[in-house]
Amino acid sequence: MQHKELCFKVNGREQHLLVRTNWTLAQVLREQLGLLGTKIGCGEGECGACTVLMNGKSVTSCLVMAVQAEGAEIITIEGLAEGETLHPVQEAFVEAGAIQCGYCTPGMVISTVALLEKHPTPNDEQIREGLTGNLCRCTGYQKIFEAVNIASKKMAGGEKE
Amino acid sequence: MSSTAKEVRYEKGDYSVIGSRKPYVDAIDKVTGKTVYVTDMTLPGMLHGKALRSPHAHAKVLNIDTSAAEKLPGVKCVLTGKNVQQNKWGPVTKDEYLLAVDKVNFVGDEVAAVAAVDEETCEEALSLIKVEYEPLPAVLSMHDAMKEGAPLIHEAFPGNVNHHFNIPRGDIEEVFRNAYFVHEGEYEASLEYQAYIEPMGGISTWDNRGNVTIYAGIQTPTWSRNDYAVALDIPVEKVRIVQPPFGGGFGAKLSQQVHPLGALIAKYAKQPVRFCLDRLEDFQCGLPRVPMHFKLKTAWSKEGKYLAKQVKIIADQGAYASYGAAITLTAMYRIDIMYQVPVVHSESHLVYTNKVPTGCFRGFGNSQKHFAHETHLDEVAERLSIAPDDLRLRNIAVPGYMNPHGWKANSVEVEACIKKGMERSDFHEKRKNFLVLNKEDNPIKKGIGMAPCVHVSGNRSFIKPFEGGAVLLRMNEQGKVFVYCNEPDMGQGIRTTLTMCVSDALKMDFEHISVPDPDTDIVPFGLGCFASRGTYMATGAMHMAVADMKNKLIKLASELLELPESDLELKDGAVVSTSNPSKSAGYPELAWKHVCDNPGQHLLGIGYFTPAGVDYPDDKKYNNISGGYAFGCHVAEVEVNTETGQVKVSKMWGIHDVGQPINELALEGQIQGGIAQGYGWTLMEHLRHGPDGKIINACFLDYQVPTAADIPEIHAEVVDSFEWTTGFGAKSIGEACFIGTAPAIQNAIYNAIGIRFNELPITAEKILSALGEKKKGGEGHA
Amino acid sequence: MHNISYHAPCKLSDAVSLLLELEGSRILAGGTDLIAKWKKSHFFDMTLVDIRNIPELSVIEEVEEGLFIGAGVTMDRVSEDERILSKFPILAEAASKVGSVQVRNLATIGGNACNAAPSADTVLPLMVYGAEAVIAAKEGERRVALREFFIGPGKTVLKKGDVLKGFVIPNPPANSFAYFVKHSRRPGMDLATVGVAVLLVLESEKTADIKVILGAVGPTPIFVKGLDIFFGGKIDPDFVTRIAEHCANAASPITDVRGSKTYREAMIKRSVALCFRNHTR
Repeated sequence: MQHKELCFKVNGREQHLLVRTNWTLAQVLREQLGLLGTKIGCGEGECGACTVLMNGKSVTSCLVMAVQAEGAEIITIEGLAEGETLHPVQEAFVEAGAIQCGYCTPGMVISTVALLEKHPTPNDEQIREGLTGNLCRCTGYQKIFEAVNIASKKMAGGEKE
Repeated sequence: MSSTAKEVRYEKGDYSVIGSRKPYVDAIDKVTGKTVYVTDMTLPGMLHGKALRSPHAHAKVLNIDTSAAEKLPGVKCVLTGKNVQQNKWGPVTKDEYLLAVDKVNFVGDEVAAVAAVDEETCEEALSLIKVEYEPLPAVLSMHDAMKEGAPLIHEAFPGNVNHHFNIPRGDIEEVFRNAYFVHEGEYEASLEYQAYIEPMGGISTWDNRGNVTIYAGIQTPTWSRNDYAVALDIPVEKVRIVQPPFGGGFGAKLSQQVHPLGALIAKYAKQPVRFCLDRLEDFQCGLPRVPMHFKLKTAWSKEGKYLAKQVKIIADQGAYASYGAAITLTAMYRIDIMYQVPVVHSESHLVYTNKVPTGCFRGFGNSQKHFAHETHLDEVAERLSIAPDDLRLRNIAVPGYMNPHGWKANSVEVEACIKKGMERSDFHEKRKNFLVLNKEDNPIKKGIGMAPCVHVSGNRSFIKPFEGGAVLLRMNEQGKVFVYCNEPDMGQGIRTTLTMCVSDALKMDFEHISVPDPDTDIVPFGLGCFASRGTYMATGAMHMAVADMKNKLIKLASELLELPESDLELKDGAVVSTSNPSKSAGYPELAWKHVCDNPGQHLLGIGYFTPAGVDYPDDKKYNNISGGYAFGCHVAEVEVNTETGQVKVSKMWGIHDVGQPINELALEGQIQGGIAQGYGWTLMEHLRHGPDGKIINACFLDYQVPTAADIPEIHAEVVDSFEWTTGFGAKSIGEACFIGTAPAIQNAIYNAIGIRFNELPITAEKILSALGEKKKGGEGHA
Repeated sequence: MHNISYHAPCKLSDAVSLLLELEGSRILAGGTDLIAKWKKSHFFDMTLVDIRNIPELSVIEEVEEGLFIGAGVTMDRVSEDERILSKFPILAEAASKVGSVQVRNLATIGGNACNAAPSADTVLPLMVYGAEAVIAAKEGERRVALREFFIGPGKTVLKKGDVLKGFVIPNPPANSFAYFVKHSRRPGMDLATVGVAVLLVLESEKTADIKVILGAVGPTPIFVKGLDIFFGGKIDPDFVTRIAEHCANAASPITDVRGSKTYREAMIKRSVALCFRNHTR
């Protein structure tokens, strides 16, 4: 089993780790950094549960070898809230009832953050397109769509009173 | 023990929290990634387990050489069927070993297992195990299973028939002879995989006295202990199951091979073992939906009165029986409580094949039947020139209806569901418009279709002397209430439902209510989460538990405040005097008084619930199986592209009678999610076996479940209803919300292009090919 | 099993040397295909040469003949780059239809070609625009027309030590129009059942040149031959039917989980027809 040193930034903190060259980013996040919010649903990049932000872009961390993250900046679900204050996307998911079993939720939330970064006020098609890589088997997506719209308004400051 | 003794009739209460819209109480943990799921867990000293699976659909196991695997550094133990203590087990038929002995019966059947320091070492060890097989001819179609000369899969079941049921009610041949119209049809429902996002798994650990604890993603923690004890050949009291949060089940995660096999590996490894499936394994052996073939024959009067129904079913349970028998029974006659049909005859053969064992999945056979039956009824409606909703309404069950099986419906609002479905979707107007529109030269044809549906709220067929549920409330010395119940949460939100009931009845905020993960060492006995029983049973018991606790709180306050009990009421987490509201005692104060007066003893609220008028079926399968029949009506609007055969479902409506809604937000989520799965089953999903018995689409790229891009807009709504056999009036939604979707879409497609597809899934290819046939002048049937 | 040796050179020449020196070494680009395949194939041992640190592989730049797109450019960049959108719109369109957002953020245009999957989306527009593959090797750079690049499913002309540097796409001729259709079972997160790219050059309302590439209907993407019989024609319904038929005859589809041979044949005709109908619309 070969190892390699990995220096990268996770949720704003520098990390220097010795990682196995056969481990994926998802494995290192979960098993070496204890960031269990990144879920593994298929391990083949087809369900999106392991989605994290890598240098600002959403990626399925089960298809990224950990060593490929050298120098990268990673944001996981644990890195979204600021202290006790949830990220507006997280708030919106809770309010809209967009969470059932919750296993797809971290990946879905990360994809939504990426989507709203690109399209701050997305139309229906952009929402659907932006979340196609994240399977949810519980909700039928309807409340997730609602959550995206609520989050979009929140982030535009529309909900502030 | 009969429960029919007294007539029960609860009245609707004055609720403030019940019936409102509440986000899940565990939503913040889930949305921040803090929730630890089964597959996230680790225990000190934990090893990993993996199973070696058969590459053959049917083969004798001649020899297994584990010597090289045993020598691999990091391997703790290597197990085969011959060097472990195990029994054949199964929830209905005991026909499956944890590790195969002598013979394997499907691709994925477990032949050996290892425990090692990590998953990589496990995988390497498996690759070093040499198994010598003698391949046998395999049965790969349920239609071949009973044929003469078909290979025999289990010695004990000649003809590969696990169960044959025959339930006649009345002289059906007589009705067929005299009826104005008799209609016959054949329908086939396909293999659908549950596709929960967290694969199956568990972590097992044994103590020195031979007790095993399994942390399992499981819907039936208490009830499955019995099955697992048999498999592991230990007394049931030695099995403890803890149910941490898990990522969806939809029926697949009842008793399942993965938990006892993990426990078996841990036993021989003498260390805790994590045994979780990867996605491929989960596809290979996850207990998908039982495929069924239906022959339906029905008799009708000229006026559309439903006179008789005959159904003959062949059901494919794959290599092992699981819940196949109960599922097939459900498919035979569950729908008979929705229509008033005086004469019914149901027959079925449940057969073994050398394919993935099949099991429970949303609807428990009832979905398969609804697809067949509601397609059939649309055919009948057309032949009798009666509108599809009208034909159904002419025969629909009413409150108090007793069917030929002795089942009695209490609250029934299916008529309201159908009418609202028609109204919301503008059904009849659209049918008229589409008729004109579809004559235009446009490759897109539009259609709209409907199907009503029924399911139970708990099905009394599992344990003869038992049906019901229990809730134990414990108020600790700070006045915090803990809810112990055996109707677990798997994402459907029962934890929030129970919290809302406590909050409403005891007038306290969510902050002070906690519903811990079920632990079979602690929670009351209960069957668990299937048969849409959770809300009905748990809130039924909760109604009594909160009343018990309320009485005790008032009694305590009466002593403390020196006021008569009649002057006291609950308000904002306190017992308050109605005559002098300045006099009150908060729950923390009362809870502390209780702990001091009865040293150490917490205040308990005890509740249990037996559905009134429900009895275990007799040997003729007679007697009412459920106290709350839940109804609904699904409507689908579709656009069929006649150039590609692709179907776009533009909108779906799900209108349901769930009794009193507890959490409207969760309810909508259930309806939308159920319809989404039904949409997938109808149009996209089909787990397919190749000629060698291997699944050919065992990944999410090939086995396609609906994505955000596919899913139609789904309108969810409930009608006014109250089920009087249970205190809060709530029935169920978990399965009914799936059941109507497939026939509604099927009927919409027929409305669009005039062709029926009586075999699921209705793929673009099938549609295009049928359109081609129709053009050539063929029949309007596929 | 599970042994991975990993190298991430910063210079193209180093990558070439490593690939020549290390037995069984292979290039890692986006990894979306390779890592998934590795997991599905029992974690075979790999010697990986990761090319993401090599600057010239991730550039998009205008060159004399047209545009150079580095092999390491990810699909999301291809789909959004202004130069690609304006000059080679169907390449951007094809890239936007690859997998999901997450896949497009990782997957590279070079990887899409090097995997040589018959269903590869971006290969079709690249071929129809007449792109050349720029290949770096120890002996120096060479160029191969993309139409000559594929040998079979998973097989290309690349030899040991070759690194696909990128593609040069010549500027399309004046008065040309390009169309792309990806027919898949569902709108997103899917492989093509049938893919079609069409480049059409018109001279006074008549066809002067037509190129059609078909994907997922043969062992490699298919450059439809013999289309000169349609030159000088007017695109009317009859023309559309005939050319669709001609293209379908050029394909050799198989039956797999995504579609049967018969269905694919029908969808080739329909997709080709759609391209031309889109033009007349």
